[in-house]
Amino acid sequence: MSLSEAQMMDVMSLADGELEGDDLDRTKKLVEDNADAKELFASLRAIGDGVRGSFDVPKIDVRDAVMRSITPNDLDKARIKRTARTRMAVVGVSLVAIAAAVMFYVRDQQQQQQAQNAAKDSGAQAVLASSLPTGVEVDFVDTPTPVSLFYVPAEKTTSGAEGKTTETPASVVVWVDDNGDPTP
Amino acid sequence: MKTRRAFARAVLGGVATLAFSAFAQAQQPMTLQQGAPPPQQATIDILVLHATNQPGPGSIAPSIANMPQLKRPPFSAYNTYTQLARQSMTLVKGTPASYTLINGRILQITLTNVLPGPRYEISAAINQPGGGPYINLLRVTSPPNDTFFVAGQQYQGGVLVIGFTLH
Repeated sequence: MSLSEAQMMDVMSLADGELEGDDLDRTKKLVEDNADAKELFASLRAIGDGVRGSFDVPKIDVRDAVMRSITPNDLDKARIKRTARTRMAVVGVSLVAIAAAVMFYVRDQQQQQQAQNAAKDSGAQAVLASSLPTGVEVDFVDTPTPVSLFYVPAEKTTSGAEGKTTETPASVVVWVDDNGDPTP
Repeated sequence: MKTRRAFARAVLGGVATLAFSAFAQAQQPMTLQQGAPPPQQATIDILVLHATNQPGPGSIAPSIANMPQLKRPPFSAYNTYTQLARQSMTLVKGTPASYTLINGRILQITLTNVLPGPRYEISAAINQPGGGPYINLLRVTSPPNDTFFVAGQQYQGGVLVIGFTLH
C-alpha cells in the first residue's frame, strides 16, 4: 500500500461522498492515477453497496407499532366514553334551554299582542277625550282651526207629576269654531 | 358513534317537539278568545241643532227638550236651541256614507270597526265642496245609544250643533 494515511482518508471520504471542490478533484485524480487508491475506492464502494443492500430502510414503518403502544386501555376507553356522554348531555341541556327560551319568548310576544288587543278593545289606548264610564271616546281630531273637547257629565232629571227619573249619559263635545275661536 | 348519533337525534327531536308544542300552546289562547265577530254595520242618528242667543231666557225646542246637556257647558253659552234636521243612516264597515248639512257642507262618515261590546269605531270628515275643510278627520269610539256632539260651525248668527248616536 503506497498510500499515506491522509490519502487513505481522502479516498474514504470520496467513497462516502463527503468531498467538495479542490479536495474532490484532487482525490478523484488520485484514484484514477494510483492503483492502490483505485483498489481501495472500489473496495469501499463494494462494502457500502453491500451494507445498503442488506436491508431496505424505507420499508421499516414504526407508526403502527407506536400507535399500538398508545392505544387506550379499557379504563381510558371508559373515561373517553364518559366524557363524550357528558359533552352530549351538556349539548342536550343547552338545546333544551334554548328551546325553553324560545318558548317563553314566543309566549311573551303572544301575551303582549293579546294585551295590546285587549287594551284596544277596552278603549285603553290614548284618547283625546272620554265620557267614561259611558264610553264615548274621541281618539283623533284633525282640523285646520283650533279645537276644544268638552266632557258633559251624566245627569238625572225628574219630569212630570209622577216624578219619573231619566238619566242622560255622559257625553263628549268636539267644538271646532269656524272663526278660530276655541271656545263657544 | 351510532349511540352518539342516536342520542343527538333524540335530543334534536325533543327540542323540535318542545318548540312546536310551545308555539301551538301560545297560539291557542288567541284562538279561544276570538268568538263570533259582531255584525259589521250600525245605524247612526244625526241630529242637527241651531244654537243662538236670543233676548230673554231663550228656549229649547220641544223635540229636544229631553236633552239636559243643552243647559250645561259648553252648550249653555247659547240660550236657544232649535232642531234643524234629524236623519238616520245605515253604516256598513268600510263604506263611507255622506250627509249634506244645512250649510252646504258634506259630512262623510265611515264605520271603521265594530269591537266586542259592541263598540263602534267611526271616522268622520266635514268639508265644503270647492272650499276648505272644516274637519279633516275625526275618529270616535262609541257604545250604542250614547250621543256625542260636533259643534261650532257658524250659521245664521249662531252655531250648528250636530249630535251623533250609534246603535
